[in-house]
Amino acid sequence: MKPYLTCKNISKTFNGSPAVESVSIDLLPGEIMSILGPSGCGKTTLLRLIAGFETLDEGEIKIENNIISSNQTHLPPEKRNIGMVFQDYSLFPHMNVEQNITFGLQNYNQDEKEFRLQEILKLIQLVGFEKKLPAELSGGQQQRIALGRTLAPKPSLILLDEPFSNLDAVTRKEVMSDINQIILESKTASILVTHDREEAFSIANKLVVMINGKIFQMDNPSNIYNLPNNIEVAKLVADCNFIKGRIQNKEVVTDIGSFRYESTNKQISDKQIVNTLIRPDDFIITYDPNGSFKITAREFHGPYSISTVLSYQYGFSLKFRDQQNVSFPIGTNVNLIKTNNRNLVVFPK
Amino acid sequence: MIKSSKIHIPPLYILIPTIFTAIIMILPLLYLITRSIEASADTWISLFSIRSLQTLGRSLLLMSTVTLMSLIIAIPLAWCTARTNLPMRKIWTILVILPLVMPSFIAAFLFTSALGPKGLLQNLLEKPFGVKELPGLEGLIGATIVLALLSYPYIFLAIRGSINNIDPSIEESAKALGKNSLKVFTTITLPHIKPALIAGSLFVALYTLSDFGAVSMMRYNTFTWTIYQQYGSVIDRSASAALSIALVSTALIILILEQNIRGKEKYHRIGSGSSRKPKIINLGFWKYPITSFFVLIISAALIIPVSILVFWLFRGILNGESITLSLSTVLNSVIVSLIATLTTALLALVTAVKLIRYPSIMNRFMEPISFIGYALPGVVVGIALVFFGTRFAMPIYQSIFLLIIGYIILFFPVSLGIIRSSLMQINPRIEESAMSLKHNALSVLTKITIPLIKSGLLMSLSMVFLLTLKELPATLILGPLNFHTLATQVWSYSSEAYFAKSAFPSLLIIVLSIFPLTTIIWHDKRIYQ
Repeated sequence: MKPYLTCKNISKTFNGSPAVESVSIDLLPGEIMSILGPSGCGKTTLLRLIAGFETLDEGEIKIENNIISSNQTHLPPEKRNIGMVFQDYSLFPHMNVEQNITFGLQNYNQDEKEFRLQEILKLIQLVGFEKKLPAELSGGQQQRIALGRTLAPKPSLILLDEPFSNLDAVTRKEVMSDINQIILESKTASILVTHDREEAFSIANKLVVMINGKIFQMDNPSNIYNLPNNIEVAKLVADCNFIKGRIQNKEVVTDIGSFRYESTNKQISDKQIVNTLIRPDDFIITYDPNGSFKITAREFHGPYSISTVLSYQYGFSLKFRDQQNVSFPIGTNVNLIKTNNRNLVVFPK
Repeated sequence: MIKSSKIHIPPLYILIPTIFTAIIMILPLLYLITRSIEASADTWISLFSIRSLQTLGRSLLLMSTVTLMSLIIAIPLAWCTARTNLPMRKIWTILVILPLVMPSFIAAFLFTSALGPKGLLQNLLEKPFGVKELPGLEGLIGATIVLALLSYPYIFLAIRGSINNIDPSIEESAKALGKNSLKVFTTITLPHIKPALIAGSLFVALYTLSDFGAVSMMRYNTFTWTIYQQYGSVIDRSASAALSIALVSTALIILILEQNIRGKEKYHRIGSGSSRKPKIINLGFWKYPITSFFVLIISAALIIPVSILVFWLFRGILNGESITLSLSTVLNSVIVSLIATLTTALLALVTAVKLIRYPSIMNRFMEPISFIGYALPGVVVGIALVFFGTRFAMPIYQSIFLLIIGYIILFFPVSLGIIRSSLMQINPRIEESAMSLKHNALSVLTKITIPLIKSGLLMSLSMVFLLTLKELPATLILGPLNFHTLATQVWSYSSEAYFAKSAFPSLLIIVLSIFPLTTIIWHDKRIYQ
């Protein structure tokens, strides 16, 4: 399939500091992409470049082979047929729900407008809210209207900039699944930008990890989770521990044992010192009065708990998830047993 | 192939008016520069003569006394209406702003003629008390009282919002640390409202420096009055230019000083703050003296002057004086003010959009240009425009166009300040949303931006209308021959001491000012907090 949107080596600098550096991404028609990155990594700038709110310094952005941005061309945002949903909803405060949703339908006649309005209200489940003002609605409702307003003129691409970050924890979960549902139903290609891994994983067919203006990894979410390219990506997509290891006979030898390993880095060779990624669910903690580890702390997370274990011999601490909520008291001597067949991921040091 | 355009290049309907504004704003400065280049040695000598230095001294003295007295009036008024249980606080808040409608030359005329020798007050006192003569209120003292009574509302408005925005917990923690109310006020409240106090004081200081009406009525020879007299004498226009240079330089120095004092606090925003209501202080017995203070100020600034005007008018009618005022004078005032007001607001809106939404190198020039306007008194703007009109623009010289340009130069900074701050409160994402919904820049401006800053626009329109209606020196200098406005009529009647005749246009100015003032009160959040 031919990509709908292509960004090729695009760069943008603000006052001398690069925000987006030589980024290339492809988006297929109907595909849903998440861009995950810490705050200030340039992901919002990337989105604004695609939307046309910023001009780029280098590279080019194409939609179906037409250049919409390059250092010579800049198609204004209103001509790109790209919808955008902002973090703070940005509803027009002086217009009611109906006026907000139909604002982008200036080429529709009255009947078409009314029809599309009702379609959208049904989709966002706010039928009957036509005459309400944004200030009279909850954060979740406002966000659904913002999405409805964006979907109304049937854009060929929707950009969502941290759309859930202004919602409280409970509403956020609900709105997230609502919005994912609405986007899937609308079958519109979308790019969601977020710093929250749960949000990024929840909807994407394709995940892009962006750090310091550069793309670190681009793949489907489970591939990135299972085999991150480097430590930064690993830390972004999951909670993790790192311990030192040494490659020997196709295994990584660490202070807690020798294990099979894998890596995206082809250059890893025998005898090389590496960083080994240990996930909190890679090992279980077992009771052992003569064990070489001691429980030193516990974090209660509701459905599960995380225990910190300290190695008597080497002095490092690791965090693991307790099994079936069996938590040993702090100070208990324990041992670690690898539970799954997953290879450990290693990174060159 | 897709047509290319750059997003950050403003459309022509933004660019052209902004450039036009920059050009007209810079005209008075160009005049002063040209004059200094052309000036003979005599001019420079006269600039540093004892007389000039005395004029400078008087101007600075008046500026200080007026600013100080305005502060003394405005701070307790603002604090009491915001933070105490003073009876009828809301009503007082509105009443104390009303003196804004009173033009300084009318107030000064009333003070000199009613309170001076053989005035109204003396008549009242003569029979029961045998008072034969009153000291008279001309000069520094009179000018100070009149100008302070008319300009304290600017400081009041500036600090009112910021008093409301103090986080009550800060004051409470100071109380918890054992400080008494007065200590809390001086150590917490005052520093917090300092930026607003400085901004308000600056406005009053520059307003005093550029005031023409009060000082001329009070025969107090400050820069503006001296410049006007010399300009009128025609013999030596370079002397008036030299004094203008001195006046504008003084104003600019004050502006720059203020910028340095404010420093980092420059962008202190008045408006957002804690949602928690500050604690209301119980005045107890103090409410009687404080209420009396309020009554005194309002009476002196508004009630007594208006009563005297009404009294004069009726006395005149009863004595059979012919009190006629041609309709054209009223229409002139209203129409010229309306045109100036609308044009100024339009230019300020476009400039504000340019400054905030289209960053570019040009903005670096626009910022100081729009700012310098605060330092340009009406007399100087008038003389400068006559200079350019006679040399380069004969067709519009002696026409209302030049007068309107004068008003724009004078009041553009005020308008820009108001519109700009309300534009800054709009989240740019809202405008971007509209763009991504296929609306072009003009459509976004008319359907989103303008409706959202409606309040600010109305405030700016009202403020400029109010100021234009009261404007005197530029109107005297730039008005075409036989072109009269209410302000110039009051001026000419009062200089000939026609009390009844001047009372009628004076009252009309005040009545016409009530409409814009109501709008200001209605839309100013600082008043309703």
